[in-house]
Amino acid sequence: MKKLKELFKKNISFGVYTALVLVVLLIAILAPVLATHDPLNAPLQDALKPPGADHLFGTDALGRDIFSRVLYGTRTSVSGALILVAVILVLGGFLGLVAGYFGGKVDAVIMRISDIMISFPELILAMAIAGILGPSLINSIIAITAVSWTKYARMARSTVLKIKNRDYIAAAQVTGSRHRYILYKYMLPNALPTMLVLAVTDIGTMMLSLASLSFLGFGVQPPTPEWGYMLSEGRTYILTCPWMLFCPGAAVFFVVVVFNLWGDSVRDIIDPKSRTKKKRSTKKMNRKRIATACAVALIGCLAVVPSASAAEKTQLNVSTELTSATLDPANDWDSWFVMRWGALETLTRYADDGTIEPWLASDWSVSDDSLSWTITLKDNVTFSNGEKMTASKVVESIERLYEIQDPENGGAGNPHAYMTYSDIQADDEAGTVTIVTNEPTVDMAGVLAYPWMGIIDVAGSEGRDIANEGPICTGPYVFVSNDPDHDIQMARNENYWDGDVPFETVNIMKQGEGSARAMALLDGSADVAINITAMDRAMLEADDSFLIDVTAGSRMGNCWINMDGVLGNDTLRQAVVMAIDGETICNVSVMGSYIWCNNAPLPYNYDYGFDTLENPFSYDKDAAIALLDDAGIVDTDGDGYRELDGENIEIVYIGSNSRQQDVIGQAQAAQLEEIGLKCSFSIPESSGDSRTTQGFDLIYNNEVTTPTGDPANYLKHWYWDNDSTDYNYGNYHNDEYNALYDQLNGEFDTAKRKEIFTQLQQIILNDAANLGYGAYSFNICAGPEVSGVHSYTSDFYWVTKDITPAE
Amino acid sequence: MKGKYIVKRLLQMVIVLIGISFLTFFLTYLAPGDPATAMYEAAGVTPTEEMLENTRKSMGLDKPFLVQYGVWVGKCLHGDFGESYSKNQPVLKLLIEKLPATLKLALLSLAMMLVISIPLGIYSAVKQNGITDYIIRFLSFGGISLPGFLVGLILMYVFALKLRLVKVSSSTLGFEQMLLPAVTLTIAMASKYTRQVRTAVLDELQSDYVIGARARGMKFNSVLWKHILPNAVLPLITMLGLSFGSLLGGASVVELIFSYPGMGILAVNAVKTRDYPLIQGFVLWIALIYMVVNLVVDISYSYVDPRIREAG
Amino acid sequence: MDVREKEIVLEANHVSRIFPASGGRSLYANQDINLKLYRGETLGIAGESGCGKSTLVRMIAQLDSPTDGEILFHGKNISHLKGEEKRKNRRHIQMVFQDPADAFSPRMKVRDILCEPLLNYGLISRREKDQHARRLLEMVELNPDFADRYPHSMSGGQRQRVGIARALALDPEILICDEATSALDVSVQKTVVDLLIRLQKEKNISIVCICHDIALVRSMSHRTMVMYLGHVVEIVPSRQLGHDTMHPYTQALKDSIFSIDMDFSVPIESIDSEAPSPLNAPSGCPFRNRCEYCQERCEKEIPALKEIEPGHEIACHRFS
Repeated sequence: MKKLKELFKKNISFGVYTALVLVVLLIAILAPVLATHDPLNAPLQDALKPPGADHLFGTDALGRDIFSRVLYGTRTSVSGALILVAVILVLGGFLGLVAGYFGGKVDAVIMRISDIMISFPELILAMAIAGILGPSLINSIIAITAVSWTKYARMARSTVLKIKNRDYIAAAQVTGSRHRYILYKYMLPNALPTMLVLAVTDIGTMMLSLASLSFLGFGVQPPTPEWGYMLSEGRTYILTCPWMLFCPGAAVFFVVVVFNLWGDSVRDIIDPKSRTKKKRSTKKMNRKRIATACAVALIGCLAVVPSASAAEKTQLNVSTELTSATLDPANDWDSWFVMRWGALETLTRYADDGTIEPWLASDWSVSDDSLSWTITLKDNVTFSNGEKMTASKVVESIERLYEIQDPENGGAGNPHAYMTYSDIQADDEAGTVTIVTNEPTVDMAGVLAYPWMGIIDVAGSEGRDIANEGPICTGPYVFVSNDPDHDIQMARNENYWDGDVPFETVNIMKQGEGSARAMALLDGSADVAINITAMDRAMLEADDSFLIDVTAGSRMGNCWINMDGVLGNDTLRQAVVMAIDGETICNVSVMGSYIWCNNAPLPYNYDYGFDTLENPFSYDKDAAIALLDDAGIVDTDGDGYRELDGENIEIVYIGSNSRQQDVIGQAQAAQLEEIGLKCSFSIPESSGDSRTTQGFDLIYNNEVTTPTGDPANYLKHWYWDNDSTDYNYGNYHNDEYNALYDQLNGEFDTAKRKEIFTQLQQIILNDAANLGYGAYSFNICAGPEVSGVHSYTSDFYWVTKDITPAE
Repeated sequence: MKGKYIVKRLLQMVIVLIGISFLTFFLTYLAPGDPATAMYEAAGVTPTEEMLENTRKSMGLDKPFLVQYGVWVGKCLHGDFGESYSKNQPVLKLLIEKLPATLKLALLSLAMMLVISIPLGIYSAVKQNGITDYIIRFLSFGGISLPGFLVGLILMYVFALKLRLVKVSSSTLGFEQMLLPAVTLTIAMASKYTRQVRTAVLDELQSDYVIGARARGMKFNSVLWKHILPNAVLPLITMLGLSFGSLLGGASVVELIFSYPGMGILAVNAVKTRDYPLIQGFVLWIALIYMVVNLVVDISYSYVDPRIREAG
Repeated sequence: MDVREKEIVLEANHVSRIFPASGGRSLYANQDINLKLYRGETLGIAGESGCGKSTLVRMIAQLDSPTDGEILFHGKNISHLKGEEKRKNRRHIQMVFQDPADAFSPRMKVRDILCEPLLNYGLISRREKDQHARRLLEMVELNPDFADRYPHSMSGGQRQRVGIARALALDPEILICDEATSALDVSVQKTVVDLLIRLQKEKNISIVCICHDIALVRSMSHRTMVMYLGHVVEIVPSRQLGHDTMHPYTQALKDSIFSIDMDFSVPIESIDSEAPSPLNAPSGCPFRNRCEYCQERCEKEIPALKEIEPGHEIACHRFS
């Protein structure tokens, strides 16, 4: 004890830093006392508030107090880092001591393994392990340990090697000491100071490693507050709510600095070589000039960066979030992108209200037996290689698609799910194509408008690597180069059949991260941005020079409710539905990325009777609570959560990171907790299995509800038959629904179909069989240098010939 | 002698490569979910079970583990590292495509880092405990205390968004696009290296031969250039080797933030989408590069350090 | 006293130790060593640096194993023992090290150093440490208060005594002294040597003593073994050193002794040239490069140790 006091007196800095470390530890321990709010409480109406009196660090997207979350995050990060360092120290130290002392084969094996581990890129291994074991704090500790122990092993080994041949070790051996005695009494104490120094100076680095893993999503899972994860959340809002990023960032910085300072001072004490009291006499050093010069050069580089300014606008710059892996329209969903980039065109196309318009075809009709369709082609259509689009070529294109996608050929059978034909004939003279379907296909026109039915010149594309270079199509732009991770280059189709093509070249830049697309618009490197995030929208909307065209398509987000699980209980399920304030979530938490449809399965803006629907379980928190209380679903064991029939209720909610479903899921989970229902929300690496293995009570879904302009397929998700595990993920079974749905088959009258759609939706609403997120709104934004940009509801038409340079 | 040493090291490399490839293969095999489901998820589509099965078959995922591994090894020996699931292109081609970008970024970052940290480290050591020393130590300290991605984000915020000095992204792979990611990487590395240089030089300054040389009247400058620097910089060569290797792996997080199309993003996406062939190819390549770099470093070390050379 | 009438405690038969060296060469540290150690005798080993003395005694102390040949302790082969058997055998063969600065862990007090061997074999309990430490210190004529001190706060001579006490703690049959006095001042050397001689008489232990000071060897050992370049060149009763020594190398060693009463007017004779390195040991007799009596036979054939008189063996072609 006296020695300790002396230590502090002699080394003032050590004392100061130790005090700081203790402060940090105190903060971690006392977090519940110091926090101003509950870090998990998510009052949505308080979302995204800047720092103020009420919330020292502001609030995040769910209304949670960032200051409190940072405090609690201290616990996770500090304890995690300390445990991590301890584990690495013990493991690496042990292996190093053993390797150094015993030498020979043991040494060789351990060193070879350490070579292997060193050769691993640390992050990749960590991600891989997190992927296997599941993302969590413990697993990221395991992952980082696996790559980091080698440094300690080598260090321990080298300390052993230094003294192994000393006389006193030989003396210990000669006097009969056992190996483990020597290791424990001689080798370990000798290695300990160096290793401790290493460990102590590593705490800060380990904290950062853990934060990095969490930043990427492989570590601590939400809603547990953890700095790395908070930083990744903040990144999405960097433009509009920078405090979400900088406040946790400052916390990380502060704590890591404290630990680094402390570690350094510990090292200085144990290994005093690194500090001398002697002052060195100095002369003016040229180094200083070189260093200054470099600094100046760096800043100069930044300042003098030339910014390109376009003289006459011949190139259209597009910033997109998504690209496709290939450019082959027959490859699953890649056709969407081949069409979006302005290359591919179909026989028909979707108007914004869902009706079908002519495109490459001028007319279509069906025979009396409802099986034979005759499609009349326009006669002035040419491919980009100058070849005329004949009926034969149309047939070739469609046949190619069906052959590639044929399940018997290993294809996924996608178009077959919508329409199969027994015969397809071309009449080049008349310019018609006849298709005889196997079953009456009511929405044939809609089927033909689907992107994979795009018409390509099969013969003319031979010799091309279609997947990477794209096929020969009819659209205004053709492919020049394709790097799906980075950019796609298009050029004007000199042989375009339908008028002038405004731009010489189109440059499509993949910028999937956060606000990258909005930023590209801002700095002028993009003229058109696809789907900027809602928070960025708010900022751009303030500036008149930007056009933001928002629309809701037929893509809806919702949850499948597992009727075979605890939510099969009607009362519970109804309460769950009533507890969700979907409107606030849509408007505030995701800032309008989704448009609330009051739980209706189909989007509001299509013609499916939305206005006549009634939701008996609209948002009413008190009613939900009352419902549960009256039914006796209450908390009897005092843990704060309700039980059902004596069993604890835990609602397993599987979410996803895309399209902000993580924000929505977390908000919903928080709202369920508010009425006393325990809900555990998680985002696994892959949710495919959960859906089929039924490991969920709620699982997210995000789907285009009317791909071909008809929602029958989507509504099949609530249809019960022998194959229902394929699509009826919630195991919903309602005879009335089934009977109504069966009527759809073969019903060609659109008015009658609309009525059935309406009734089907009402049944679902009455059964509280759907927990909706809303209709996913998307947008296209344009900068001041272009005009004619429009956001189509069917989301297939992005780069069109209508986009021209601004006047 | 040298020849035998190199051969031995090459043999070691082969063993390590085998070990790593088996490990990665094993790891990815254990993971839940598979590329088929991941692929559909990435497209935002919910496939039916039938579609999934079909896709699985076409990917060859239904064969037993060891068979898959054996097949893969056989192909590798022929130069075929498989085809990426998510991009339908040969893995080798993808890696080679991204290599120049990461290479440029790595070299630029290393160059900038050396230019900064060696002079600063020396200066800081020589002027120990002076004001400049404290400033440099303060700055380098800050550098290692910030997570790399935070530095990147701050830089992006300040320079790209607020000051509008730099474009966040550009269509060409030019210097402009490399600048911010390189600076981010440089800051993290320079902080570490400046401290190392400082420590190394400080150590040398206290050794007997320096005191002896100065006692014999040698000018401090010459002592610095002729004796201290060469000795202090020696251990840094090894560190450089390691840093370069990890840079080549793509500073994943930094690349992610800046959407810089290098190998790092490739790797992160590969892990997220369970693109097994790409993951394996990537890990294999990184390990190979790492070991080659270290071998080169070790050999050049023996040439540069006379003590080792003589004993050779 | 003819030591050969006592029992043989330790035997080395055709012991060789070869180390692999860089470039595919080999280092011949010991070649075909044969010796016998009798109970109660002191065997001195003399020779230049690099002649293999330390390697040999390390093998005797079981810190190393011979590449060829065997070492027998009371007839039992101890050259390749392992594990617990080896450890058990260690009790009987102990060692005093050359550099008292290095021979002790800097963290241990004298008491702990002395009692460690005893605790290793479970001979005493922790409570008894004090009393045994005192006993051992008294045995080497040190103040029992030293038990609480650290070796680095003691003088060289005192430390060496502690080393001796430690080595004797287990009551071994063989004590190896690896240049035990070389690091000490000359005045202290004598006291340590006296101590060793006294202890030997008391406990009847056999001592193997390495020394490169041939005068010292003569004064403290019964027989002297002279080594050169990994070979034994002569084994002679120490009384006879300086009188009847025959081997040219031993002769040269003897002639190199400086003493106060030597004739300073006579030119100092030294051997021309340096000792060759054990890597490039010359064929035939190891000394042939520097021997004035070298013949043709000496270049080709390694001379074997032959007994030319009772108790006196020599390895030289002049005497076979």
